[in-house]
Parts: sequence; C-alpha cells; structure tokens
Amino acid sequence: MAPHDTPSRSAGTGSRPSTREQASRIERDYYRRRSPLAGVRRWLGLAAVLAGGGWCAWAAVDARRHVAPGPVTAVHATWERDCNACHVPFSPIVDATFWSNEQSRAAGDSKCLPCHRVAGHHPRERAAEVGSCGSCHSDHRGRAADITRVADRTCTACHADLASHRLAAADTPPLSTEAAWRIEGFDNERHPPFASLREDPGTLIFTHGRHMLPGQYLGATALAAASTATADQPPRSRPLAYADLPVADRARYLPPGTSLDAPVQLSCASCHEFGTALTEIDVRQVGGRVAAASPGAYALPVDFQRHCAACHPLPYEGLPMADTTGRPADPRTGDGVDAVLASVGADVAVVPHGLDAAALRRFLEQTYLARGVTADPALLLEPVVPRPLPAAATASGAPTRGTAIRDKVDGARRFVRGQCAKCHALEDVALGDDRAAWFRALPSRVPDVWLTKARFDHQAHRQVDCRACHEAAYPERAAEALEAARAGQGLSVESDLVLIAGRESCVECHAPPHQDAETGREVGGARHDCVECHGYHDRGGHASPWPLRSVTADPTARPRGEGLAALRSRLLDFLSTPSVGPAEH
Amino acid sequence: MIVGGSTWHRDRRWIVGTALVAVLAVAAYVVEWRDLGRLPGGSSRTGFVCGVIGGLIILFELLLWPRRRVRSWRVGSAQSWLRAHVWLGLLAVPLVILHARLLFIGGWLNIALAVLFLVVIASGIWGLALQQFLPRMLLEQVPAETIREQIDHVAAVQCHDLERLVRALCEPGGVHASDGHADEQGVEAAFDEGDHAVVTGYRSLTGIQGRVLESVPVYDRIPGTAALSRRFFTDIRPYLLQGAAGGSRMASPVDARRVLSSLSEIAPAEAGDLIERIAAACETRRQFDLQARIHGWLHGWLLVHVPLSFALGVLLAVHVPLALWYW
Repeated sequence: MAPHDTPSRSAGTGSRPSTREQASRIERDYYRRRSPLAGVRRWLGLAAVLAGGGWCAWAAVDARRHVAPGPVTAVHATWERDCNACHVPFSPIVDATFWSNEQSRAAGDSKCLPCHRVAGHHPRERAAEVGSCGSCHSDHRGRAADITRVADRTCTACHADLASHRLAAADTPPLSTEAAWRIEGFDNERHPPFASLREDPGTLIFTHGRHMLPGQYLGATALAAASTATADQPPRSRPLAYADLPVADRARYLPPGTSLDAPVQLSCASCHEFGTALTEIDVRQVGGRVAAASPGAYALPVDFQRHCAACHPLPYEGLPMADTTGRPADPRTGDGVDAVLASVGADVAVVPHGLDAAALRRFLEQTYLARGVTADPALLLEPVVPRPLPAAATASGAPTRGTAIRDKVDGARRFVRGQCAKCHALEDVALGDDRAAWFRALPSRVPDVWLTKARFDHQAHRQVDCRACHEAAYPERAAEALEAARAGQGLSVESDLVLIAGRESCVECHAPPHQDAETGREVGGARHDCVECHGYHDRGGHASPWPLRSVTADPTARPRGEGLAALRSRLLDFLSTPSVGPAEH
Repeated sequence: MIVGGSTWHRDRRWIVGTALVAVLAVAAYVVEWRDLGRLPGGSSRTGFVCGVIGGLIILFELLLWPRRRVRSWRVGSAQSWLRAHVWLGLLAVPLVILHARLLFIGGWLNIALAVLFLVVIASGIWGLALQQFLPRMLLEQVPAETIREQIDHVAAVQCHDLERLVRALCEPGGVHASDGHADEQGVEAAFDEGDHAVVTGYRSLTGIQGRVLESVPVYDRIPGTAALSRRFFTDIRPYLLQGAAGGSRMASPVDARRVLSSLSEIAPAEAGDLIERIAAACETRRQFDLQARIHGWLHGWLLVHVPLSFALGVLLAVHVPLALWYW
C-alpha cells in the first residue's frame, strides 16, 4: 500500500499549506474584479452623498427648521421665516466673536431698535462695554423663552467692579457703599443691602405697632413698654370699638360676623390696599411707577380721607367736657376719654385735610364768621360804620365781634395744630402781618415704591404672610425693633424705622434650594438672578436723562419671500451690503 | 492600524499632541464660558476656533479616500496618513463638541451634522478597536489564510483536487457530484481515466509563474471504500465548496471529527491517508469560513464609516457658509 501512503503533498497534508501552494491556487487576475464589499461601499457612498445633497436642498427650502437653531420667542414669531429681519448677512449679531466690532454691533442693533426704543443704562457707562442687543437677548431658544431674562454675567461683568467700568472724570462723585460692593450674585455676601431701605425719607409720625393693637388701646403700662407714648399722651379709658366708627366706615373695617362692640382690629389691608381700590383713590396721588405696574404689584398710597378719617376726624375745636377731669365726654357713655376717642364717630365739625396755612386760616375765619352770622342774623342788618381811626379804636378797648372771631380762629389754630402734629412734622409760616404762629404740615414723603432700584410685586408674594417681610410693624415686635434701631441708628420714634425687611429676608426664598441651618427645613428655590428684580433699560432705578437708543430702519431693506425667492433676496442683500462684508472685518 | 507595539514612539507623539490641544481647547472654552455666563456657541471665540480646526480636520480626514484611490500621490506614507487620520479624527471630537455648544444645539441641519459626525467617529473607533486584535486572531487561527475574494475559488480548487483523488482511489459509491458542482468556475478540471490523476493549478517557481501539471500516481482502487466515496460526495464535497453557508454539519469541528472517525472505522486502513487529506481539507475550509467572518468584522464598519463620511462632507460644505451668513 506504499503508493497509497505517498500521495503528493501538493494537496496539503498539514494544517498550514505553504505560501507557494496558497499562491498557486489564486487567480492571477483576481485584483481586476471588484470585491463585493467594495462594491457595496461604493454604492452606499454614492447614496450617502445623494442623501446629504437632498438634505441640503430640503434645508434650503425649509430653512426655518434646518438653519435656525430653534424657534424664536413668541413676540418675534411673526418674523420666524424672515431671517434677515434680525440678521445682517455675514455680520455677527453677538459681540463675543472675532469679527464683532462697532459696525457689526450697529448693523445688528439697527434691526432691533426701530421696534424697541430703549433707554441707556447709565450716563457713566462705557460705550465700548455696552453689548449689542443680541449679546444679551439671545433668541432662538423656543417660543416660551423669555429673552429679557438675561444671564447674571451680563450685569456682574460691570457691577462686580463698577469702579473699573464707569467713565471717571474730575467731578465724578465717588461710588456709594452699595454701588462699590462686589456684586456677583444675590445673597448676603455677594449683594449689598438695599440702598433704598437705608433710611425712611418720610416725615410722617406714625406708629404701626399701636395701630395694630385691638382697639388701638395700649394702656399706660403697655405704652411705656412700647416706648411709643409721649408724656402728653395719657392712656384712654377704653378700647375703640367698631360701634364708635362712623356708620359709613363700619362696613369697611368690620370683619364679617364680628360684634359692633368688639375692639377695632386693623390689619395691613385696612390701610394698604392693592389695585382694587384705585377708582376710590385720587389717581393723581398715585405715582407713575405704581400706576404703570401690574395690578396689585404695589400698595396704593394711604389716603387720609379713606384710611385715617374714620378714627381721626380732625375737629378744629375741643369737645364738651365730661366732668372736672378736663377730658372730653365719651359720646356713648358720657365718661371722660381722650379727645381722639371722643371725636370718633361724633358729629363734630372738622377741618379738611391737606390745607396749607393760608387756606386753613381762611377756612377757620370763614367758618367762625359764618357761624357768628348764623347765630346772630341781626348782624347783617347793622349799618356799615366808617372805619375808626387807629387811635380811637385803641382808645375804646372794647372787644368787637372781629376780635371774638380772631380769638376763636386762634384757638382753633392751636387746636388744629395739635391735631396735625400728631402725624405731621410742622413748619411755621408767616401770613402777612398776622403774628399768630400759623403752620403748614411738611410733605409726608412716604414713598409709593420703596425699592426704587428694583421691582417688587406684592401680588406675586400673596401667599407669603405680611409678617414675613414687615414683622417690625407688628406690636409684639415693634418695641424690640425700635430698641434695636435706636441702638444702631439713633432713631427717636418708631416712624423713623423702615419696616421692610431687606436682603436677609429675600434670600430666605430667593436662593438656590438649601437646608436652613436653624430649622433644618428645605428652603430657597425661588429665582434669584439679577433680572428677577432689576431692569437694565428702564427699571434700573436711575432717572432717565439719557437719550433713547435708536437707529433708523434700513432703507435698503427689500421685501422678503420664501424659498428660492428668499435665497435670491438674501444674495442680493449680501452683494449690495459691502459695509458689513467679511472683508471689512 | 495597531496602536502601540513597535510604533509606540510614533503614537506617543500623536497622543501627547492630541491631548495637549484638547486640553487647551477645553480650558479656553471654560474661561469663555465663565466670562459669558452661558455656554459659548459656535460663533464665540473659542467655539469658532474649534469649529475651524475641526472642519479642517474633517476635510483632511476625507482626503484619505483620494489618497488611497490615487496611489501615485507621494505625500507621506500610507501608514503616516492612517496614523494622522486616526489621531486627528479623535482630536476633532472635543473640538467639534465645543464648537457645538456641548451638543446643546438646534436646527435640523446642525443636529444632522453632529449626529453624522458622532456616528462616523464612533464607527471609526470601532474599526480601530477591531484592528487591534482581529489581525492577530487571523494570523493565529487562520494559517491557511488567503485573499478574501479568492476563498471560494481556492476552496473549489482544493475540492476538485480531493475529488479526483476520491474518484481515483475509492470505489464508486453510487453517488455523483451534481452537475452544478462539476464545473467550478476558474478550475480546469480534467480527469484522466489512466493510471494517474492530473491536478492543475497556477504555480510560481523561482519567479516564473504558469500553469503546471502534477501527476499523482494511482494504482488500484481501494476496496471497501464505496461508503467513503458516498459520504464524500454527499456531505464533504458540498461543504468544501460552499462552506458553512451551505448549512453542512461538517462546519462543526466536533461533527466533522465524528464523521471522519466513523469513516475511518468502516474504511480499510489503506484509505487512512485519504481520510487524513479529507480532514485537512475540511479544516482548511473551516479556516476560510473563519477568515470570511473575521474579514467581515474587520472591514464591515467601513460600510458605515465611509459613506457617512461622504454625507458629512456634504453637510459640512453647506453648514460653513450658512453659519457665517447667519452669524
């Protein structure tokens, strides 16, 4: 069987045939035939190129979805399909590019300013540091995007070091403590205390703590404890009840289901009304900022007639005495009470609120003259006598009716002065040759809006208890707050105290979510970016003597179309707009 | 391309350079991010530079295709091109991501561009990873490796060699090769009824190539090999021609061993050498199957990588002017 044992090794008996054997079995022209894999790859490549080209053609037709990085905000939706309504070809719409310059900024802003006439931010801002519109208000972030809610960095870029970012001249005043703060965010470390709450600019003498007490009744001990009583202010004999109020005012103050004999309990809303009472208040008293704000954002100004007169009717002469104590009679019980309590709800003659000195004298003279004539109509029948010589008049020395009226007026003046001085700082006024100490109340100057450099919306905070931000206005904390303020600021009365909690109160909620160190509760989470409270163009808190930024509309603008027409239009625009071409950049 | 090994010193330069540029780009991006207060986009200073460099890299990557097609180009060696292709492609990833605002982008064209880029890069990384071990696996597990496109041809030649031996040495088993298998493409089959088998093929000997004849002396048919012949034509021959794709149980080494063992038991001892040759042929065919599979893995990713690269180039060519237009 030897022949069978020795077959040629050409067929390969081992597991690995020799290279020569392998080569001998390969077709010599195998490389001329394309491998199936290469063929598939070629066809797939061709298909991919065609698909890419097709996609690009589709993009040219439907540029809105393909080219735009996202839908524009709702207020710009009208121009969604007209890219050139906002863009200038080959000109950056933002500043932070290599090709941004004054020309590109002006070109970009020229698309915005015809519609958005906005004021500058500050007279000492550096023009080179003022960004283009698109740099802060980046669009294409969706229909619901608020492009006015700009990043903090756009503000802190300057306010973190304001001294280095403002125009300085020899007469440039130094920065305030607050402005010099390194503002990099909103918390107790990176944001200054609110400058507008630094002090109360008002001259009104008012005690929130007393008015928040039931019946407005403090009693001698409580008065002393609260340090709000004055030496000439004796305690009353009883609390003020709803029944004491004029009938017309009871409905406004009396809570549903409360007895008329219950002590009057004022709340914040008794005097601080939001929006709904606008028609009942003289709108001329409402500052422009309050009137322009959304309803409920700010409290309407406190109006004497609406909010004070029910309890403070301003009588101009004393009331009948109740007994020998020299105190007026309680209109219900006849007991002696203080003058205010006695006058509440009583049918007493009152002086109108808000008169100046001359008007007050005229009012009182006319009132007493009319009262005298009414009491003695025969006066009207007396003949007019020649004016006596001064010496004769002096010689007679007998009191005349005029003297009596002047005495009455003088008494009423003193009485009214006492009434006014309860709430107002007074200033003496000379009225011609009248030697009497006439006076006028200084303007109360109570701000309609306290946070002048920011905006606040009470309506947005309606779920928050008033006490959270105005705790010092409540009687239990008033004395404590006053003592603390006195120690630090030398305040004399509670009305000098700003009763609005500042930054420390805000940051409890307007901060990233965190755990309160004391209570362990999860707090924070409300927005705390700059534009949550501050505005740049018109709400920055600065007066606005600055010119509006404006640019005339592009006169060469062509009507826009869709698809190829739009493409042609853009091409023509580009070719005819050499000033913003890339070559100049 | 194998990363590391004997070419580690070259790769190291690329790795250091790539990492350095990537770190610089990320640092510049972070600084600008902090200054702007928002993610810098493609028009920002860093984003723009990253975009320009990334675009140029993509352009260079695409040049690999004409470089391979036009072999007359003498701009660097193929190995250098491939190494640059790999490392620059990897460098493009951070650059393009930074340019694309960390992929927080909008616009279908931009999104398509980013997706295409990432898929191309992912397929390239996949291919690079496969190249790290599949060639070695091929070398170790496929000693009979041949040119992928010639597998069927070589298998057919081998099958015909063996078929002639079987016809010469074995008694007819009553089964003949089907007509479809009788004339394999590219094989000149000739069977001499004389006392020798003629095997044809191409040989290269000392630089001279050509078709040669080789004779295998044949004496007598081995008695008792009808079953062997029958099994050869029914099971083994189809497998040798079609491989595992034919569904033959011979594709399994265990089953093949079992079949050949049973043949050894029933065939006379004189047929042992023939059975050994059959076993070797089956083993070679199995290696061809394995080679085809490995080859598929080794080159299949190019079916994704190359076509999508072309599409990427098209979209990039549109993206650049559009992005500058609506800056």
